[in-house]
Amino acid sequence: MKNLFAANINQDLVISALEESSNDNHQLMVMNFGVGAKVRILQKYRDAVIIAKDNMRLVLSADIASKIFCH
Amino acid sequence: MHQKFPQIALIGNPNAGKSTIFNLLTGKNQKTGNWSGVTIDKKYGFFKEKGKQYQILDLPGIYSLDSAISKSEDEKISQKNIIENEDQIFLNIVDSSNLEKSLFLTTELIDLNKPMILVLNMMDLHDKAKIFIDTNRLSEIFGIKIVKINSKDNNIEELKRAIVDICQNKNLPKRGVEFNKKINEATDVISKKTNLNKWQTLEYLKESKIKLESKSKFTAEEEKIISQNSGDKIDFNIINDRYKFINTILTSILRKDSIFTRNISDKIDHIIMNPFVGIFVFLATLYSMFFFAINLGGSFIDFFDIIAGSIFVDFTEIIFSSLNFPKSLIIILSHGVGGAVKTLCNFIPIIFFLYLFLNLLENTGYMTRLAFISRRFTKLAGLPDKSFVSLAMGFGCTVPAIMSTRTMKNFKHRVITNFMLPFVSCGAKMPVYILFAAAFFPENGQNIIFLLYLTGLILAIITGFILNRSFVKSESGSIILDLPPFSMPKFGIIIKDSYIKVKNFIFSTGKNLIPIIIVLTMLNSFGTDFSFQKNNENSILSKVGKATAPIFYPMGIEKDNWQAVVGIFTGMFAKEVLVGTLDNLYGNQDLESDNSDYNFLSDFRLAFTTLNNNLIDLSNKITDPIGIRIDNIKNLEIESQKQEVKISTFKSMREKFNGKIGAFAFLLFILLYSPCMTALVTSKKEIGKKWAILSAIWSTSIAYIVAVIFYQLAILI
Repeated sequence: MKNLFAANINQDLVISALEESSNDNHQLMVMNFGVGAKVRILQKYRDAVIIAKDNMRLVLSADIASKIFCH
Repeated sequence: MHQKFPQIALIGNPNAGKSTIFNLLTGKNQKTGNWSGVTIDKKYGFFKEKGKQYQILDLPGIYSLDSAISKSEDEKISQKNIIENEDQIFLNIVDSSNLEKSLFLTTELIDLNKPMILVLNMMDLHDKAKIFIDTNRLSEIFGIKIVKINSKDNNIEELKRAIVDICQNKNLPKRGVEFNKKINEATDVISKKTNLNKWQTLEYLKESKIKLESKSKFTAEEEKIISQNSGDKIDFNIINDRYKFINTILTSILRKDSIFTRNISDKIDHIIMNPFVGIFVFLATLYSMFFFAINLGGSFIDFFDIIAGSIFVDFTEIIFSSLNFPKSLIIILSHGVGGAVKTLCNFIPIIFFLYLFLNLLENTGYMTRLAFISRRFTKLAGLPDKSFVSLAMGFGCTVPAIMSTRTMKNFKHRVITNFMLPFVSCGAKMPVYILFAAAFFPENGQNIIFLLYLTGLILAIITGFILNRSFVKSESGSIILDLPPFSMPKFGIIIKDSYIKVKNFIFSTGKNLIPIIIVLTMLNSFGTDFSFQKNNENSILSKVGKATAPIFYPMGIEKDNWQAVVGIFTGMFAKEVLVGTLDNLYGNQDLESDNSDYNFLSDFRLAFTTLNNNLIDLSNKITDPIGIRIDNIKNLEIESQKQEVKISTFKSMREKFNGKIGAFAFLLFILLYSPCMTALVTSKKEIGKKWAILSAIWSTSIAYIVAVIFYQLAILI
């Protein structure tokens, strides 16, 4: 998957490794997933995306989402 | 006192169910949370088992102990407690339906090498989702006791037995994360020469604040190994290794038989998170908050005002008069101390109803969504995330609005929002607007007040915009929000939590506010020769007002209008005091009151009558939640009765101010200048003394500049 926003709602995406880490990305990784985790897109907006993994639901702003799903 | 009992700290991610377990263990009914205004203090409780007492410490939720990850104030409290308290036993509460995420913190706690129990909570949800966890295997891997808890058969007795057991045996975890070769090599070098635990060793590698006493003992080769495997890059490797380890474990202990389905919360989110529908729901929620807090809460203000006035002011005055206390002391005790308590009591209903509403939003799970939706507004103006929620609260009362900034992780965002809030017109300024509208703008008062609200909001946004792009430049507006599932509110908990917050507010604010109001009363009751002044025209405060009046001359306040200047000073202490001050000074009223016909029962009846009338009047306010709409005011006598001010006040005001231009310039200043003392004290607590003072200077300077520019331009035109 080259770009998150080419993905469809209900599609599963795998979190890619990050070339450069930053606080925001770290936080995301630590809080919720880890590299290689599979998540499902529940909603997609211009500025954000809602993803699901097990019973967890997360809303990510587009900048973060596009970093962790594009590699 | 607490130290003699074994202390067990409840640790886990937000929404993992720590408070439920705390309540089950201690029999208390306390609540924690992770959003604006929730108390961030630790909570203690006790339980007794086999004749021995155990202390339970409920900590705010935390995702990670990693120092590289930014944390909000409540997370910092947890982090500090977990890391620094040597004698604690950890009770790690884990949401079993989100094991991958929850076990990250578990692996960090294991690295601290302290006795711990892993509590798998929400097992019923897990069963519903047809997910099976091999807890015996998990227990073997970590070498720690695991207890399963669910909402049906709590299993709390087994948890208590496990706590008793671990307090006696102090069993330590057997296995933590297996990091990659390079990290292991570096940690081995450090651990051989120091007493650091695994977590401290890793923190040292990350070049954090961990200091080694024995650093000099490292050989040159060891120093090289450490320096090659330390620094910023190691953060990512450590996180990655933790997740690899967790995923390896989950592969062997977790079995899922279900396929992913959207639940009811997902369906609600589909509607309310939508950029278009979501904004309508958001605006309706804000409108409801105004109505609920300002109007419904405001309906009780008269009740509190009359009852508190009767008890703390009138009754106090009668008691001390009957004891033949000197007049000056009676005034200080009744109008000073009693008046301060009364002022504080007037805050109670609005703050209680505001908390009630906000707790309701939090309890249902909407608050997190609200923070996200409001971000769409704030992002447009380049303002900090979550600032919109605080600004909206500021229309009610600046104090809880300032308190709501504490969950912003970025300190600069908190500073910016604190700078913006004084410009948002709080409910306490409304009586001043109405008084001036009645005196100077009887035909179009509502437009003038709307203009003031709008001016304040625009200046708040401009302030945020300037600060965001200048000396407190903030980071990007990236956002990650955990969406809890929607749930039915628990009204008992909501009411109790609101009560606790109001109680905390009264005590923490009261100790600062009361001395200030006492001083103010004394300054307003004594002359420069320290003689008691029956007529406060000659009081110290009046003299100060007269002396400082020229400062305000450029904004249209003439020297003989010193009453307005005193009003500005008293408004600093509490905005609602301003109307009383103006009425007092313009109406030439002295502080002595006639209490010969004092009757508490009659005051009580009057208080109930006002409550009844205000509640009946609520229906008229549904379309006017912040009371902006004012009917045309033509009959001053009727309006003076409505505003509880004397007719002479209106006449004096018209004589002293330079017409509508002078009055509006004064209103602009009142709208924009420093928030009340309570808000400033709260601001000091939230962002520190330096920023709180700077914020007051900023808002007062802007107020002065805007008022002067308006007045000077208006008289030219």
